[in-house]
Amino acid sequence: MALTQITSDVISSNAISATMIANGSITSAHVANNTITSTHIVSVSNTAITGNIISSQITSVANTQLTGVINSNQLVTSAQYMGFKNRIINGAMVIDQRNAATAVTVNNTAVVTLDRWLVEDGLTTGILSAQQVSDAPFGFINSLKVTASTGSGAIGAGEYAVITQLIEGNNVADLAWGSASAISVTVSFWVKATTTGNYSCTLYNNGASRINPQSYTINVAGTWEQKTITFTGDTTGTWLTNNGRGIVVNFYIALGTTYQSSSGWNALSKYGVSGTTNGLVTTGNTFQITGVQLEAGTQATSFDFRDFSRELIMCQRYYAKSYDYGTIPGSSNIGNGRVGYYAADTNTTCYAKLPINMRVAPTLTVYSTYDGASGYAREGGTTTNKVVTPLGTGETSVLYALLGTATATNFYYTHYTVSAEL
Amino acid sequence: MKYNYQYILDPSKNINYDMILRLPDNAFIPNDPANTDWQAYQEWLSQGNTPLPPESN
Repeated sequence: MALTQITSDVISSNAISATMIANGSITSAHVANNTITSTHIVSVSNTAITGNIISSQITSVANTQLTGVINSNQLVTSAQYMGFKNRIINGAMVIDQRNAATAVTVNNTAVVTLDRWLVEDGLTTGILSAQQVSDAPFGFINSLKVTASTGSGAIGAGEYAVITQLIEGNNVADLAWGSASAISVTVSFWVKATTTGNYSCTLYNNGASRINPQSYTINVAGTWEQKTITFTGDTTGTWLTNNGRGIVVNFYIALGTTYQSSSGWNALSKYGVSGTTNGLVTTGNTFQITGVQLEAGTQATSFDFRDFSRELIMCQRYYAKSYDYGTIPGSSNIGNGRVGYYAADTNTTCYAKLPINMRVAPTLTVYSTYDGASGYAREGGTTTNKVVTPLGTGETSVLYALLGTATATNFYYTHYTVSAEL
Repeated sequence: MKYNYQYILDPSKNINYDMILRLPDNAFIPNDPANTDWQAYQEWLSQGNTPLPPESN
């Protein structure tokens, strides 16, 4: 008599091993739904499963059991890794509209150097020079370099020097800071300095009523090192979510004891941790930074590289110019991109559409294309400048004029810059 | 940089209170409370300073 069915009760436990079953002899059609549970499976090789596994079919997976690539459409709850991941603009220090990689002096003032990056000198003796340079760690091409063109020596309690980026509130609104749902953020960056020691990286709000300094250490002089700092989301305080200052990010190069305290949230003007190193003591000391990223979550992920044009457009919300990218505003005899207008009589007006919507109505500076003098237009075909009068600026355009000084049937040429910095 | 400010005239030869000229960089600053240059001008005014009279066009 032929056997038509063997039931499980006639097979001893472990009587059939894997070597007794030919490959492909048991297919899914032979297995009833729900008859194989996780307790029946010891291990499955990477190539043994095809088709879709939905999340409800997975109880748990240890980190080491997954290899290969996970596509974005296979992720449901990892939004912080997609889209506008890095809230820092120009974190790779590639955009320098104002200075085209030439050095600027910072002496007892705050100067926007590379786009979106402010360098502030609050030193009594020290004078700084800030510049985009091509010295950068692997994977980057530029960094922001601050040099003590005059060393600060030992600094007083109230002195400081700092590199800052002001992040617009619109770009950090999702972090929900100032609420019970505040999301932690992680700041990562590459840094290189002459002076080793502990430095401070600090976040604070508009008005500086909520400040969080954290410490990091530069271990080896003159060597690129990557640092990562996680900041707990602030559940209190007022954090702007509009076009004002959302989060201020500071990297102190020097900081007096007046502003030092322990790490963590405070409201007491404590911008740095105790023992913050003065990296500018001696003339020629340098401090460089690049690859700056601020992202949601407690993990630093790979740097969010954006294409050059996208990064430039993001910068132009805060500063733009009519000059070619590599031309420093105020240069003489610059015809490319000039803004011209025709005078029918002694009055003439000039309208310029801005590249993108700026953060607010911008501050306007008009330059003669002849000698780069600010506040003037060049009279076409001559070396004569005529005074320009502004008529208005808005987030999308600017309007200016020659009033009663133009020569009829002549052309006038200008360049402009517009600034809507935070 | 130490700034000074100067009024400017509109096409009707009246002082244009919606803009101010910043010296010495000849930057025109619009009356927008969210413009940080305008905020700095307001702070300068609050310290008791007064802009220079306008140049005639």
